[in-house]
Parts: sequence; structure tokens; C-alpha cells
Amino acid sequence: MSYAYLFKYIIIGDTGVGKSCLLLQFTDKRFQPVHDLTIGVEFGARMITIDGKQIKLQIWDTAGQEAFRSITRSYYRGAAGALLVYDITRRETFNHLTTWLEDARQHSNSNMVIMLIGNKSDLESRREVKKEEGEAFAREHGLIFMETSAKTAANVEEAFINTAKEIYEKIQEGVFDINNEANGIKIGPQHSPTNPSLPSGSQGSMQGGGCC
Amino acid sequence: MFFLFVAIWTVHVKTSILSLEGSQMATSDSEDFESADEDPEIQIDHTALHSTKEQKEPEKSSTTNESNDNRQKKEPDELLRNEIGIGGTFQTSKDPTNDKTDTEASDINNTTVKTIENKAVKSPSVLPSRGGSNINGSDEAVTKDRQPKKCVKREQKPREPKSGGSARKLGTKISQNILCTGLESESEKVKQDFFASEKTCNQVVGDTHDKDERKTVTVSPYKMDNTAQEIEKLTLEESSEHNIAPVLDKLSQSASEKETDSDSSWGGWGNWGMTSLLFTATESVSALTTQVSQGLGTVLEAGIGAPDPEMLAQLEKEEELKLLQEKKQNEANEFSELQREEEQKAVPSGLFGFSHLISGVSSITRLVETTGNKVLTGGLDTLETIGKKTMEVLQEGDPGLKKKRALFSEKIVLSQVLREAKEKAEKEDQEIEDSQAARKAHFETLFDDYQGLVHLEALEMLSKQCDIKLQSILLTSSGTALSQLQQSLQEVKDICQLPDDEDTEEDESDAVDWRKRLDNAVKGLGVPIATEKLNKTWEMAHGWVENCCSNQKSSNNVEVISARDIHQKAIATLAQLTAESVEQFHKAAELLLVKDDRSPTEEAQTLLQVTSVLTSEVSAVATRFSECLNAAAENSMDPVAVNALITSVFLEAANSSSYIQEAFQLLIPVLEVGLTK
Repeated sequence: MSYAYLFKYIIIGDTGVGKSCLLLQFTDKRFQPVHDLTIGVEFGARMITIDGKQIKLQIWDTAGQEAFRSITRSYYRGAAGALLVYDITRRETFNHLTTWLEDARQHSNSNMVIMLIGNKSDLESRREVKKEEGEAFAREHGLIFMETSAKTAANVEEAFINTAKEIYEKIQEGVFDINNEANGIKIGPQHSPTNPSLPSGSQGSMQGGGCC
Repeated sequence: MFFLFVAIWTVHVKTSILSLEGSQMATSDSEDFESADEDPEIQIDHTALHSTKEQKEPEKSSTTNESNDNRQKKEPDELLRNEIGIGGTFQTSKDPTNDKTDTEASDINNTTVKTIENKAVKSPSVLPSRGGSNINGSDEAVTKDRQPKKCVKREQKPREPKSGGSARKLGTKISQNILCTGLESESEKVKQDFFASEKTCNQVVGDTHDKDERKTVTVSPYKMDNTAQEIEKLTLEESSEHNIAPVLDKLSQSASEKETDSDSSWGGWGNWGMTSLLFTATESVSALTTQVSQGLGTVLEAGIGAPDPEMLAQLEKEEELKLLQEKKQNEANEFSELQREEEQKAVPSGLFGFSHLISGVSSITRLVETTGNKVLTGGLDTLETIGKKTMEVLQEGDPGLKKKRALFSEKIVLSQVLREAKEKAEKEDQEIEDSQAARKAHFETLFDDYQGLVHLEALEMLSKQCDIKLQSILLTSSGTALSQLQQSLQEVKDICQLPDDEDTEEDESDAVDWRKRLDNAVKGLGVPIATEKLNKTWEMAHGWVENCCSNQKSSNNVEVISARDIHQKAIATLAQLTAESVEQFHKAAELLLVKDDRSPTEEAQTLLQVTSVLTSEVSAVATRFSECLNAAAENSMDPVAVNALITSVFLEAANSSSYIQEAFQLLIPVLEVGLTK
């Protein structure tokens, strides 16, 4: 599939918050209750449409384990968007957000769009972090916020697509230099735009030299 | 003055839409002309305007303009041709000979002369004497320069300054006659034009011609005896330059009396739907004349000597201007019609009984003067303003009038459009199909699809990071520690040197054998490398090739797999194997980096072995597929094409190997970093 832009995303957050499940839900539209621990980084890709343009999202799903922290940091570079995920049923994953955010800010470009995601919203009974807390944190740090459920797919699409929309807007505003690949945006293979406009005959008859 | 023609053109656009759909005006020839000469025309419009404005001294300027006429002949020529091409419904289209240019050129002359004459009249000093001498003088000047056109001019010019706007009824009638005759005798016109241009007319001949004309008026075959007589009288008086007013009155009277007669006799005219239009035009002219005279009167009385177009435009109310514009266009339409036809008919003169018309026309032209000096003096300026305005309106949002002209020249045939659309759609489908087929067999694209590229990218990032780390360690360390480290680094590098031309044993290693070798190699790394993916891919490929080969051997099999499909499968398999290999290298790098106890030399040896196994397997897969393709080539209608596919498979296999080796090289800094722990 040809695309107009390619956005690089990274998914970060503590281990077990459901990063890989979010990716699987977004790319394959399925949920896997038991997931292998991610080694280093895994990848996913999906095509979306924004403003009539095909955009390929290339998602780097990083390992949440502390051991891989040094490796995953090196993958932050060149990401246009980041999904910072915590688990609403585990308060400590929320508490670690500041560290993750610092890491992300330090190792990526300053224009990176960060979406804060409170995952596992289906487990309302075990909720430890209020939605308001997430909202407040996002507001404080200038992030977009959303509560999702990789299991029920609630808000999963929106989380990825809204981030893409934000990036796209930044491109339109000229904040992102699309020619600098360090921004995590690549221009897709250009296809000549097919113009099903007026038949060329009307134009052609206008041309030509004089008669006689 | 040229804006007057723009106005004419506008009216003609309307006219054409209203009633002349069947006529020849939208021929491709005239279209081409317009578009080709579009820009020069606009330029000329402006220059012409300027030159006209500059003329303050009538006697001097008229001669200047006449000489300018010759100099600028080429450009106005085009302009006029454009105008005629658009407006001249019956004129240009059917004239296949080169003489057309001549005729038109003479038209231009006439027009230009007219302009000058009008200007001359404008001046108060010339008004009483009607500037006749001026015109004659300039005429002669032109005659010297342009011999072939002289004939036309001799006939035309003496009458031109006498054109009158108030001869409305007569004007209408005569123009109708002219138009109808023009329609009937179009084919003859060509001959006439040719004839006229061939004549080397000198002054004597021209004069004789004039006399002939006047005589033929009386022998007019039409029911216009009365008018004709009047006209004859008029012409005689005209030559002696006597008071003409009573004659003109009479003339217009008789003309109006004859109007109904003439209508009935030219019944065919109604088919063209022009009658009503011309009547409207005529009526509006009368209204206009009054209005213009009034408007100008005010201006003149107010003490503004020579009102410039800008001031005039300001003084007149907005609505009035609009109204005027419309009416002027109508008027312009009528006059241009008259003028053009007159010009055309002047060439053949008395030959086909048109001469009476010319005489009539001459009387009409004289009537222009009777409408009053005010009209002529200020009217031209007003016309210029209006023309300018019209041009602006026309050009608004449509520079060069391209769209309006395109609309005007619309002549696309529906069937053709549909055919073109169909062809286009077919072509697009074909292209899409081709690109899809190409994509299916495009190694890099498939490699990306299997996420080989992104793994390679991630591996590169890790490699770079390790390299930076290594360099900083080298910078900070010193003495024996540094030399030891450098020695170890060199050791690892040496191990990782891939043999230049790998003499991999070509023996057919089966799936089990291959898996064993890979697993053994991976074991040495001390990190869990998932070889299942690679093994699965290999098994799948192996099974497919087996099936395919047996399929090809039973040549009469209906479900024979085409060479193209085999090729696609081969490339896809290679891409998948390569992507998975790169992924394993990437994973190995990540795992090695988080491993505590590292033995980089061992790791290097193991990874070298893995690389060797992977590349040999890639080539083995390529060989398998090419065997399959060879079998297919025997069945194929086009073995040459199949051979090209086999080459492609081996090429991509080499490509694949180089990717794997590149990934291995990226691992070197990762291994080296292990030495520093």
C-alpha cells in the first residue's frame, strides 16, 4: 500500500500495563490474554486515513522491563508520537509516569506528541487510579489523555488515530519538518496523482497555431 | 476604439448562443486563432488605447496613426483577425484560400482609418470641414505603401467619415440584406476575394469602380427602387459635398416605409433569429444617442473642455453606465456588422448586385455625423471607458479570457469523450494490475512488509549507540587497559571478517539438517534465540517447492503453476527469510546487551556461523525455486521470460545474503561493547 506519510510511534510504560496488547488490538483487532514478555522492541504497522491521506503508522512496542530500559531508550529517537501507558488497576504504574515522561522527553525530539493512556478500563472494579487523576496529570504535562481497554478495544483506535491527527496538524502548522527524518515522519513513495478531471480535448483545442 | 471591438465580441458571444448554433462560427480554425493570439491581443488593446489617447492634434496625429498603421500592421492584423474570427459569423470560416489574409488586412486598414477619421472629427477645428482632406491625404499615403490593398480603400474611405448612427431603420434593413446576401454567396465570396486581390488597382481604376457602383444602384434587382434612388441622389450630393440633412431625413423616412417590404422579401432571414436582435439594437441606439448627448452635454457645459474617459465614467451614474454599456454593445454590434459586411462586399463591388448596398451604407455612415458632434467627441472616450470596463469585467477571475473562450469553442463530441474515458480507465486498470504484480515480486517491499527493514533500522540504532559508548570508553581509558582493550577489539573484528567469496558447500542440505545446524550455532550464543520462525518459513518454502516441482513434471496437469507465480513465491520466501534473519540478529543484539556475562569472541564465532548458515540457506532456497522455474520453463510458451525470472531469483538471493551479512556487521559494536564490561 502506498502512503502519504509514515509516522513512527513508540509505546512506553511499565511492564504488564498492556502495551503489546494495545498494539495487537490496534493492528490485528484481537486480544491475547497471556502475552510473552517483549524482548527489546517489537513492531506493528497499520494504515490509517486522515484528511483523505493514507498514513502508515509504524509502531515500536518497547519492552517495559527495567532490564531493557537502556536499550529501549535508544529507540525513542526519531519517534513522532508516543503512547505513554499505565494500568488503572496498579497505582505504581501511574506513579512511574514522571520517570517515563522524563526519559521520553530527554531522548526524543521536543515536538513529539505524547498520548497518556490509562489502560484496562474494563477492570472498573479493580480501579486504583481515578480518571480525573490521569486527566490532571495529562493537563499538567501537556499530554493528550484517554482511558482505553485493549480487551474490549474501547478507545484503542481513537488513541492511535487521535495521536496521528495531532501529528498531522503539527505538520500542517509547519511545526514538524517532514524532510527531517529525525522527527519520525517519512514521506511515502510518491505516486503521480491521478487527475480524473476534464478530458484533455478541451485543453488541446485551445492550443495550436493560426490557420490560413 | 479597439474596445469597441471587445464589446462587439461580447455581443457576439451572446448572439451565437442565442441563435447561431448551427453556423460556422465555432470552427476549429477560428478557435485556434483566438487562443494562439490571445496575449498579443490584450497587449495591443492597451497600446492602441494609449496611442488613441495621445492624439490631441488631429491633423498631425491622423497621419501619424496612418503610418503607424503600416508599422503596426502585423499586430492589429492579428487582433482584427481575432475579432473577426469571433464575431464575423459568416466571414472567416469558409474561406480556405490565402486571400483571406489580404481581405482581413484591408479590413484592418479600414478600421484604423475609421478611427483616425473619428478622431479628426472630434477636433473642433476639423469639424466644419469634415476632415475630408485629411483622410484623402492619408489614404494616398497608404496607397503608396500598400498597393494590393488600395482597391479596397478607394472604395471605402470616402464614405467612411459620413457614417451615421441615426440612420437606424435603414441601417437595420441594409444590414439584413447584406447579411442574407452574405450567407447566400459565401462560396462566391472566395472567388471574389481572390479576384479583388489579384487586381492591381490604381487610382483611375478605383474611381471608375466607384462610378460603376453608383450606376448599378439604379439597376438593383431588389424591391428597393425608392431607396436606391435616394441613395443615388445622396451619393451624388455627397461627391459635391453639399448639405445633406434633408436628404438624410428623406432617406430614413423612406427606409422606414420600406421596412416591412424588405422584411417579407427576405423572409429567410427570420430563420437566423437575428431580426429581433437587430431591431433591439437599433432601438437601443436611439435611446443611447439621446443619453450620450445629454450626458456629454452636461459635461461640456460644465466647462470641461475635453473630458477624459476617467472623468466621464465618474460623472455618469453607476446605473447609467451599465445601461450605456449594454446599449453601446448593441450599437457596436450593429455597426460592426454593417461595417464588416460593408468591407467584405466592397471588394466584389457591383459584380453581383451588391453595389446598391454599398451606396446605402455610405449614406448611413454619413448619418453618424448628424447625431451630433457631441456624441462623436465624447462618445469615443465613453466607448473607450466602457470597453475598458467591459474588458475588466470579462477578465475578472479569468485572465486571458481563456475560460470564456473555451466555453465559446466547446465542441466536444460525447461519444469521443466516452471513448476516451473508457480507454483511460482501461489503461489505469492495467497500470494498477502491473504495479500490483510488480509489488508482489518486489524484494524490498516484501522485506519491509515482513518487518525486516524496521528490525534492521532498530539494529542500526543499537549498533550506533554501542559504537558511541565504545568510543567514549576508548577516550577515557589509557595505558595498558587501553592497549588490551584495543587488542581484544581487533580480535573480535578479525573473527567477524566474512570470507570474501564464501565457498559454501553446495550439497543439498535438507530441512532437518539445516535446522540442526542453526540450532547448534545459536546455542553458542547463550541467549534464547527463537529459531522457530525461520524453521517454519523454511519448511513452508520447502513444501511449496516440492509440490510445485511435482506439479510441473506432470505437465498435463490443469492446475499448473505459472512461472510468474513461482517467481513471486520465490521472492516472497527470500524476503521473509531475510527479514526473519535480520530480526533474529536484532533480537540477539538486544539479548546480548542485557546479558551479564559476556564472551564476545565466542559470540562472534557463533554469530559468524549463524550468518553462514543463513546465507547458504538463502541460496539453497533460491536454487530450489530456480529448479522449479526451470521445470516451468519447459512448459512455458516463453522460455526467455522464464529465464529472466530465474536470473531475478538469484539476484534477489544475493541481495538477501548481503542484507544478512550487513546485519551481522552491525552486531560487531554490540559484541565489542561486551568486552568493556
